[in-house]
Order: sequence, then C-alpha cells, then structure tokens
Amino acid sequence: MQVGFLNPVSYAGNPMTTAWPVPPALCDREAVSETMRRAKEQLRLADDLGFDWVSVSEHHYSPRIMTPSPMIYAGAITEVVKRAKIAVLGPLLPLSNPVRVAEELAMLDAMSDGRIMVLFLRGTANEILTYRSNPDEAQAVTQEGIDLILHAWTEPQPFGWEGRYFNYRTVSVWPRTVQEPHPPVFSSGNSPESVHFCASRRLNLALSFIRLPDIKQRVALYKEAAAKEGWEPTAENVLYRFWAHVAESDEAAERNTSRFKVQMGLTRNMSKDVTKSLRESPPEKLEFDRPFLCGGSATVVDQIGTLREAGVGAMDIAFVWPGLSYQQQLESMERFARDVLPQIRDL
Amino acid sequence: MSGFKEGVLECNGLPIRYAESGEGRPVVVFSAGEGALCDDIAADLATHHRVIVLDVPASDTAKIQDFVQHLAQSLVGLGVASFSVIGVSQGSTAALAQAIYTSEQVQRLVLLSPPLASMQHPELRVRLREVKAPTLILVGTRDRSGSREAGHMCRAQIPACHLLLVYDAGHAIAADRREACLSPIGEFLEQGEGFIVFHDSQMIRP
Repeated sequence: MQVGFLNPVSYAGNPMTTAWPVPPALCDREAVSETMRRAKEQLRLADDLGFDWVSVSEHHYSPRIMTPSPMIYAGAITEVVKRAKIAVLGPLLPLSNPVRVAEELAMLDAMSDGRIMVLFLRGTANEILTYRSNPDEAQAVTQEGIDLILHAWTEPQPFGWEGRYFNYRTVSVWPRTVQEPHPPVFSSGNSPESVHFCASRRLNLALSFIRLPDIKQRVALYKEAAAKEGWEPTAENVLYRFWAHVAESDEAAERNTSRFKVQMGLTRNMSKDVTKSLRESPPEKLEFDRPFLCGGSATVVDQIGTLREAGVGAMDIAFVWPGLSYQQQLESMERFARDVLPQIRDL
Repeated sequence: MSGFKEGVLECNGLPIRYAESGEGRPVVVFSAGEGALCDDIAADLATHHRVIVLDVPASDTAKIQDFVQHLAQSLVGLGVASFSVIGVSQGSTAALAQAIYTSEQVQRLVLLSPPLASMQHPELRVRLREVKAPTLILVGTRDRSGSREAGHMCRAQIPACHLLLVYDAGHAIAADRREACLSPIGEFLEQGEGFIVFHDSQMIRP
C-alpha cells in the first residue's frame, strides 16, 4: 500500500462562514502567513515520516484549501520536500490552458528530478463558477484536455491541435518531462462515465471522498472497462483520497471527531437558481459523520485492510477534520506514520 | 461527385478520370480510389477554389517521377500551370511526388491521413527534404494506421511542414471531423504558413 499526505493548506484563521465564495475581507493577512508556515512544516514532517508523496490540489475563492495555483505551490514544494514524490492532484482543466499545464508540469518534473505525479480534474461544481466555464461541457473539456496534454508530452515533433474545445497551431513543449514517457497520470473515477474514459486511456484511477460501496463499484467498473481495452489494472493503479484521524485509542478518536460532521459541496448554500443552472440536481449533499479512517492504530490498520480488499492500493490522506487543532493533526500524522504505516506496507 | 463536372485527362497515353468544380486558385486532389474520404471537403473547397479531383489507380504511380511530370504537363491543357496539391490517404504518394518532382508548379501540399507506405516509397523517402511547398499534414488522434508516424517523418524532414492532430478522428479523418479539417485546410491554402497566426478577436464587448 502506497500512502501520500494531502497537504491541506487550510486557513489558520477563522473565516466565520461556510458560504462560497468567501469575501476577501474575511481573510486575515497574518493568518495567511501562518497558514503557509504550517503547510511547509507539515510537508517537511511528511517527508521525514516516510510518506510516499505529498499532494496538493486546486481550489478557488475559499479558505478550505488555499492553493488556487497548485503549480506555484508544487514549485515551492520541490525545494522543501527532498525525498517524497510530489503529487499535483490536480489541475482543473476547464479552468486552464492545457498546453500551459503540460509545460508547467514538465517544468516541475525537471525541477523535482522526476518526482511528479498528476491527477487531472474538472473541479467541483463551485469551481466551474471561478473563470466562466460551462458546466455542461466540463467533462468533455477535461477529457480533451487530458488527451492534449498526453500528446504534448509524447509527440516528438511540433504539432497543431484541432480539437472540439482547444485549438492550437503550434505546440512543442520544452522541457520534456524527466520521467519517460511522462509522469504517472491519474484520472477521476467519481462518476461511472469518467471511469470508462480513464480505462480507455490506460490511466490510473483516482477516487475521492466517496463511500466504500461506491469505491467497490467504481473499481469493478474500471477493471471491466480495462479488460475490454485489453489491459489489467492492479490495486497500484487505484488511488483513494480521504480524511483520517488516528488517536491514542478508538475512544479518543471518537471524542475528537464526533462534534462535527462534514457536508460535501460548497454549492449547498447557493440559491436554487444557481444550483439549477449548474445542473446540480439535487445539489451535492453527501455528508460524513467521521473521517474514513478513524480510531486507534489497530482499528485504522483494519480499516485500511478493508480498503485494500476493495481494490485500493494507494491512499492520499488529509489528517484534518473540523474541530481538530493543528497540534492534533500533527500528532495524528505522526501516529499514523509510526504505528500504522509499517503494518500496511505489504498489504 | 455531386456538382462536379467529370472528364478524362490524358497523361502520357493513360486516361485519368477527374471531376472538377469551382473557381479560383487550382487545387488538385489525389483521391487514389478513396473518393469517399474527400468528397465532402472537395465540395466545400470548391466554393473558393477550382478543385480538380483525380482518380489515379495505384498502378499508375509505379514510375512515379514520369507520371507526375507528365501529369503537370497535362494539367496545363486544362489551363492549370501552378496549383496546390491535396493527397488523401493512399493519394498521398502521388501528391508527395508531385511536390517533389514538379516543385516549381506546386504552391501548397496538404496530406490527409498519409499512410506510412507513402513515406517509405523507395524514390520518395530520400527526397522529402526536396519538397519546397509549404506543407500541412492532418492526422486523426484515433488513427492507428501509421499516419501519425508518417506525419512525424514529414514534420522532421520537409522544410516547411506543419503537423495538425485532429482530435477524436480516425483514418477517415474528413468524414469523422469535417469542419475540423476544412477550416485549417482552407486557411492554409490561402495563407500558407501564415495560417498558424490567429486573428480571431478576443474582445468580448467593444
């Protein structure tokens, strides 16, 4: 089992709202600096503790994860994290110029001496509102963007691209990626349609914040679709991103996390007109009452065994949950690395 | 072909069937028996060009240098002294030879889904650098026939060559994504290598 640390870069202050977008007036500048200091501290810790990678994602206009430009952040990580891989999970392609994304990731792969992994995403519903994207086309744009990036990394000659959503007459990416033919690429499998695309391109499958029965269903679908394409993925091809909290006992973990639930989706506070226009019907209402992994170390090892049986061979873990202090997050990370990691390596 | 006038062109004693339509700068299309691949784009190009679609049997290109040189002379009989050339799939061999051996007459060269065999032709593969005309190669991203490799060879060796990947198209590239082929071909025929410059306005509101 491979394990990555999802660097949350969560706002160190208190924004006092769950709306989206969050007004910049609520952003305390000193808290921003403290957020970035903590984020770097956690990155160094993850590197020292033996996590296989550290990951960064892309979100906008909110204190939830303050990395609207994952490329800039990943560039900084190359100087902070010396051993672990750097997982850019991931650039939101409907909000991006895919050729620029290909160039920046190639730069990062060179700067990190070939330690980049990447997951291309279309973004959650609210992200579509960031830069004037069309929600009806987000999936198709993302899929064409992935194909374009893969060509940009592998075509030996300059080329033009006559796409449905992208149109370039001259593409010739320098530098090439250090990894050959390119860094490991993941594609989202949160929807059944996207699983088929992922298998058709022989990409790794990434699932995030969905429940165990859905994980099993997506993995089965992935294997079935891959078989039709003439290949056979293994658990190493399947990544799951989620929250975890490891405490000194099951009781302590329950005590630390039971005060709050997490509702997925930042559009739930938007007007019905907006959610209807976003084609969210119904709006995202998935609710979790505890982290996916939660308990003392023995319980968490068992929970990971269940995840492995579901077909997952790579975990991208955020050690955050509402109500947990920063110190509790660090302790949870350290306890996971010390007491859990050695027991799950051979799963 | 609908709307095209059909005729027979004599080329060094060989009868070559052709279909012609439109007015403007001449464009000679080598369909090589794959007319279905080019009917659509030929009809559209004929709205701005004088399009002459040749049906050249593959056996006629055995002595390819003689063939294309005689063909250029025969085209003069149709009032066509200089022209652009489009090769569709198997027609790429003759189109490429035309650009190599009659380089003074050929203004632009366009190859759609060129087969790898065209680039491996014993006479032509060593002479790709002799193509003087600005060249455009179109290959579908789903084409697994070897056209992509052929495109790479052309891009690497022909001095003024542009390779255009047409997303989600297979070998029948013009049938799969007609508009995506027509637009760049039309711009390339008009502007040559200048077609890589976009002039679409990015202004949203004045």
